[in-house]
Amino acid sequence: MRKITIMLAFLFFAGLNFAFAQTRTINGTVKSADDGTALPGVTVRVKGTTVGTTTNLDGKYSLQVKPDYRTLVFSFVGMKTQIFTIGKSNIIDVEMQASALAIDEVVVTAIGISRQTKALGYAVTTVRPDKLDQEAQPDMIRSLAGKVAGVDITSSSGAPGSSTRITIRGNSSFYGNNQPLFIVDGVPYSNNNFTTSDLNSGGGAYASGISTLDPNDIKSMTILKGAAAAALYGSRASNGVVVIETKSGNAEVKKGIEITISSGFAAEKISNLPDYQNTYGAGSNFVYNNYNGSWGPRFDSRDSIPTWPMYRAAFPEMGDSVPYVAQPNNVSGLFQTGHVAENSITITGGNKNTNVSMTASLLGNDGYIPNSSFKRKSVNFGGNTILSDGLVLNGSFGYTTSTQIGGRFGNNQSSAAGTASSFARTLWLARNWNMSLPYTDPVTGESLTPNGPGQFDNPLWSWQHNTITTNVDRMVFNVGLHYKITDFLNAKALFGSNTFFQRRQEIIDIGSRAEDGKGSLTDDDVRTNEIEGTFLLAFNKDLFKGIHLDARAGYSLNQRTVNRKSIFGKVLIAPDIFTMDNTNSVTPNGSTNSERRLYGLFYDMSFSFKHYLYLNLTGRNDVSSTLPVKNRSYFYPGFSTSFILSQALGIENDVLNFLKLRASWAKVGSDAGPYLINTIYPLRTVSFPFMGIPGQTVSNTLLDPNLTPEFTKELEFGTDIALFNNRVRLDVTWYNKVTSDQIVTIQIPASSGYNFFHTNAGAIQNRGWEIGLDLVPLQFDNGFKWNIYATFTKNVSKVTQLPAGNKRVVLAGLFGDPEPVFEVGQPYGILRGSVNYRDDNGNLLIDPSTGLLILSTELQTIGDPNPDYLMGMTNTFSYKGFALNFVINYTHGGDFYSNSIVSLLGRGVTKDTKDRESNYVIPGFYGDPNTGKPLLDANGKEIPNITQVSENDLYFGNSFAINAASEWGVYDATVLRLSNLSISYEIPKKLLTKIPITGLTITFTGNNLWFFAPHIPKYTNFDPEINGYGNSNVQGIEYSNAPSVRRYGVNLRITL
Amino acid sequence: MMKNIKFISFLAIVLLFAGCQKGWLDINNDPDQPTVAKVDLLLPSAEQRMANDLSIGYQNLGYKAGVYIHQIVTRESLDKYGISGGDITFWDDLYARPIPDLDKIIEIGKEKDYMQYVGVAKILKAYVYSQMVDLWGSIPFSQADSIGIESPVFDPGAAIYPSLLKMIDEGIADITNSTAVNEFKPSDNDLIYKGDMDKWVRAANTLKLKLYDQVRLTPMFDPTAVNALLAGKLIEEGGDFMMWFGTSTNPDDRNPGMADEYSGSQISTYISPWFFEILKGMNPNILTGINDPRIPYYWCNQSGGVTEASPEYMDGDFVSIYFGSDGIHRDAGGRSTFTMVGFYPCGGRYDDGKFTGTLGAADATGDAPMRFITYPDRLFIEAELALEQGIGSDARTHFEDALTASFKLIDNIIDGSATTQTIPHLSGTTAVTDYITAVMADYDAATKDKQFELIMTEKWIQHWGSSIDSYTDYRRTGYPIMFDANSNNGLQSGGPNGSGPVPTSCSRGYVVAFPYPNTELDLNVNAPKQRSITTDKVFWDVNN
Repeated sequence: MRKITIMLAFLFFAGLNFAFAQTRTINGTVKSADDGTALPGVTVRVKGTTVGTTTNLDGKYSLQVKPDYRTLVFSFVGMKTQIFTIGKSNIIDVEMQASALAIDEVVVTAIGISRQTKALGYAVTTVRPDKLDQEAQPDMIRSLAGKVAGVDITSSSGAPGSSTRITIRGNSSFYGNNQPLFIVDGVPYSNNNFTTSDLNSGGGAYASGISTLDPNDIKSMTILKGAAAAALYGSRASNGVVVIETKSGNAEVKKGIEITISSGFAAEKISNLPDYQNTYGAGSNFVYNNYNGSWGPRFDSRDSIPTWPMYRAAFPEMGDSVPYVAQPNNVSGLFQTGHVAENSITITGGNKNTNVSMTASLLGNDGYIPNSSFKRKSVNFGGNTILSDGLVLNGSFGYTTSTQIGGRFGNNQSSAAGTASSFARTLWLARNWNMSLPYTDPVTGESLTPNGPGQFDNPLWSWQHNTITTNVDRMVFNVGLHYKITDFLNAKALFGSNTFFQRRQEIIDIGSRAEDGKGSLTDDDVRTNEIEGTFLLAFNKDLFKGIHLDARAGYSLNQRTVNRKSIFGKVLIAPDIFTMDNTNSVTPNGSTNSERRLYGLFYDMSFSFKHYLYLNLTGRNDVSSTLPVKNRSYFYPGFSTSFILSQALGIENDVLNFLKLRASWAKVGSDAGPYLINTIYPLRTVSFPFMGIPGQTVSNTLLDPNLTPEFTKELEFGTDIALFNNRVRLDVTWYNKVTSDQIVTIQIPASSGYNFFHTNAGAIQNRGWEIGLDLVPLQFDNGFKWNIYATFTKNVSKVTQLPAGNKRVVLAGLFGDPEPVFEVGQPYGILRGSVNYRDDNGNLLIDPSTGLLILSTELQTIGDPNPDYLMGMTNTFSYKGFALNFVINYTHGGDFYSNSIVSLLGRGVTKDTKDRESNYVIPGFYGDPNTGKPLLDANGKEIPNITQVSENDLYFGNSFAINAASEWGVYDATVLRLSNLSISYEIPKKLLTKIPITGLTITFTGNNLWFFAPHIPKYTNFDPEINGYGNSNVQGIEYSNAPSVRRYGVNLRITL
Repeated sequence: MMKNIKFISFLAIVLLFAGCQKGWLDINNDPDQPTVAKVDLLLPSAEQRMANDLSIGYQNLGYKAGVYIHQIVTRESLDKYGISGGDITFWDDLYARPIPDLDKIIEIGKEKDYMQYVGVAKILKAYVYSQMVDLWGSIPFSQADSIGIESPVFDPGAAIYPSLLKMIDEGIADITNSTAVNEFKPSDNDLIYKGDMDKWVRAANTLKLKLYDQVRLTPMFDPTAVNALLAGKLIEEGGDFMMWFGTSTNPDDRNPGMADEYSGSQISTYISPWFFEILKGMNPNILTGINDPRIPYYWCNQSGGVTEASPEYMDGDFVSIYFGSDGIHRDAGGRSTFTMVGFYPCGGRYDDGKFTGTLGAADATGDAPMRFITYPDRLFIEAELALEQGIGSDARTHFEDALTASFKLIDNIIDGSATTQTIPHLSGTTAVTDYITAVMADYDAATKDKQFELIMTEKWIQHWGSSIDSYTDYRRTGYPIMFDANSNNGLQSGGPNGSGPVPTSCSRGYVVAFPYPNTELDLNVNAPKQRSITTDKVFWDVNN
């Protein structure tokens, strides 16, 4: 069948073949002016005719020309078109210069396959590190925001090292991982985020695994967005793949040595604090009380208040009263100016047969929160050598160690014994609280707060004492052997291992509100290891005239091991000693040991016809240890095609330079987690051993012994267009991705005897558009150039099927209100929460006895956290060595529930609630609180509300902020942001001839300089991008997290 | 040739590391979890979980019922009868923890002929289901916890009760089965009776008596069966059906009512001023002028601590908040000023009047038991049956015995507790004798209705910390009379500093049964619509 297809294609396109006459032959080589590498696929044409050819893999061409042919045109997408007059010489060698942004470059696709982008039938985006490192951003992923269409990046908090969530083309799994697979130098790089404490009630800003990767060592990052692009990576590729090549793992052929030193420094601050009112202090309804709500009397209405009780007790010399005055800086004074310092050196060198590269980097980031930091040290070394003719050995080794120190974040409104968030009250302190007073009791060491004890820990005390320290050591190595069997057949073997050690300690210190003030320790140690081996045979040959086959067949195996051990110690005996030996009792806190294995066989065949029609067929068969034996082997194919219409039709003019159409369809199979088939009877650990007696229970998760693999199917169409001498480039992609028979742990009715069922159920569809636009609006001969790179991302997710006819399933329990849920026909993870009763016309119903709203007994959908669309725009102005670059990102829509905004309004601390000295009537009609129906007058008409309430009541109670239905805490997260602004100058090379420096670039950069969120209460200045749940699937819920960061930095890059 | 040798050796290396041995993929068994269940480990797990879920631990089922019998006040959504399907979390726990554990014991026990385990499991299962019927009315029963049924149907409470009575009878028969092998028997791992089978039989019979009492106004009532039970083995003094907790904080095996409250840094369980004033003799309607000697055992004041924000309700050192408050201080904090739950309900501190500072975990042990059915309960039930149904002997005697036993129960808990506090015994003291005399004088002077109100009020007082049966008693008898936030039917004091009651209101009606949890309604395709919690009553609630 395949053969027939090829033959048909051949016959069809044979008619379009170029005609030429025989006279003399011009030969030559086309090289890139940048690095001197040969350029295959360059179109060489005689001007004014259809006569032409393309260069071969070595960049060579040969063209027979008639005597009347005068001029040759060399064109290549991504390069400036070159025109040469045919002279006497039969040799014309050409060096081509890069133009604008190179769409048509060679990219690394799945399994290390290098392909020209024009051959690809699907969307991939390659990002060079120079696009990223101008941002003073210790987190490489975060600086991708807005630069790649189809990719959504959200950060969890402004704490150093905190995780960043990246999703490609939406969320396709109900409960599983939705983030892409990271492949570094051919080996998977685990991006686990090991959470120790529950973020609902005060947990850390835990880093994700990818944070151990040194951005300075990255040579390229290729994002394989769809199933067709990623399928060869197998099971974990259904969320897309980020393929990273490191400098050390891919040392390039260079003679001599080159040393690059990069040094950067940035200062960081909390990005935005609310505009606080400084007219009213603590209390309620204009009456002073030592409350954590600034609804009290005006500052000019009384002189003093009783000394705060904890301070009175700790410092009797303070006397009975303190002045009643505003403390305008009591919040901003808590924070400091943090910094980021990063230094890196890369040394590369080699000779004819051997190349090596080493990168060593040091990153230090002290956050704006006192005592928070992220430090990373890494060394990566790699190289390759030609052992003998055709046999190449390469390998690399990387070691990274990082330390993250930070406080506890999240909600504090929980009575549970172990909870203490440092941000519980930090941003809505009563306006008269003096936070410059000592925060530690000099005798007991206890946290001192103005309305303590027990309400919250003083943030300064908390940051100093309640720390979470995470050490990570990551060791990566890989070796590869490459053998050229014949001209057209290669064999390659790759073996790699990635080992991750995490050691974490969480401290609740003596004197905290949590743990009864007695302190506790949690140790959480994790080791993960992943081994991957791949064997590949590659075939590369012209099959017939004009038809080329580039094929791979391979075999890969993978093993993943996780060993985790966590213990909990309660009551610290001696102060300031944080070891389990110093606790009164130690109990297990959960440990897991798991191992999974998989092997797969795959093929990839790419046929090309005349360099303008490409057809790619892939397939992979996996066998996994995690599935039942009868279902553990599964196959999934893929198909893609690329058609360069402009080349096929021989269109060549100044308007249309390039036009490509592409289409693909692929399927990706995925296995289950380990140990989710066989019934277990877990030992009870909560409260057990109970008075010394052990217990065992029937697992509350029902397992499915007939589990089958889950499949994602994706259809994708796209086009790449270059216009006006490549000054306009557009790539547009549409996709439709459906993940069905998901392997999920679904919630089932408890009355079945189980809370959860691990089985195949449900389906999610993600459909969307991705547009990338590369523009050169201005370009002058004097070297001035203005470039715009804009992206547009729109993904619409829809839950198309839920398990067994359920109306909805809950994504995660959290506090219950609001909670993210799945409903058929609705987008991913919509928010469901409490609402107030309304009449049939949507008017609010008012409780006649209070003048306030009536809480409905039913929950409803209150928001959709998925953004409507994302846009990013990178502007670059360059002139000689100068470059000005700024990045604007825009997120349209998407809702989020913000505990912070609710608290800022409800506590009456911002200028939003400053005008409060009159009463209000909530627009609405009287209703019956029992039935939720409107009350009717004698004529059967609804009765308008005329009951007055105070401004205080509008924000505290059955109204619109604290203690209100959660629908009022939901805000539209639309935000326009100036993400980055940088100015750089590259010293011209000619000025450096007298010193031993070959390149020197200095960059000034500002990060997250400004944002505008039109739907956020004005004076809260709240940044809607902060997500409370890190990189989990829970999105659009924020519980008192650390606000985002603003940075100003300078970076120096020197090449020796 | 050289080339070929290299290639062959290269291939060999590749195939070596790639070569999958047989069984390379057969590694899908969790090394850390048992695949076999054992009855002796399942039993303590089921008992502990049942006690936990029904306790007055913060937001546990007993806590919620405690709010609606006006012994506990809370600030969250439960206030003003605002309970909704999102507040119900322990339904899921009861169905997915103790019941499957008990079913597994029955399954294994029957197979291996460990009939004592089977019998105990059946009695416990009947008890758990009866509590669930009392809270929710119709619930999944006949198809619940059955393999292959993901969405069990809901059975009416009136259909479940007879099955429970039968299940108890089977349980008794299994326990007393003299031909059973019983290679293993419950012993110290039985957290309730340490394997004492006679006590299990008495508990089972008293449970039956309690269920008959609860349905006495319905056609299900069976005087013959009741008479047989009264003549048989019932719970005796010292044989209370209850489960002791421990004193360890790590793992935390303390009574959840104490653990949540004393270790937490906020107060969540406020003592109802209504409850307080009745025990103080301040209520104009009932027990007026009679001071209850149990007060220092019931709650503990924090005196001499840091003065915090103005409280809503303050009477001497007793500080609390109101149900349905509209007062301006309703949300004021006060970790070190509010009165806390005391020794009797959950192992908190006995109020010896000497405590200064802020109560914390170190000030109490938390080992007081979760009481399911006590000896005083039996006597109160007998008093009710005698007074209202004319069954058994004199109601007055039973009532007086119940009062005496209520004090003795506290003494027994003092004796069983590991507390280091010196807690005086109550029985036989002048205060107690005077109290009983005064109550009986009221009883003797009262109409029959008022006598019944006194019995139910005293039962309610005795039940402090074990709220669900009081919630059931109130709904089926209308007694004791509860606080009405709209009219304030009798609260005397207020605060701060006696400044009088603060405004209260409640625009919702009384909650006659708990709402179903949203999870069950969302997930169970056979679930009914959410009930109207103010009108949709449990089948025995026929008293209007």
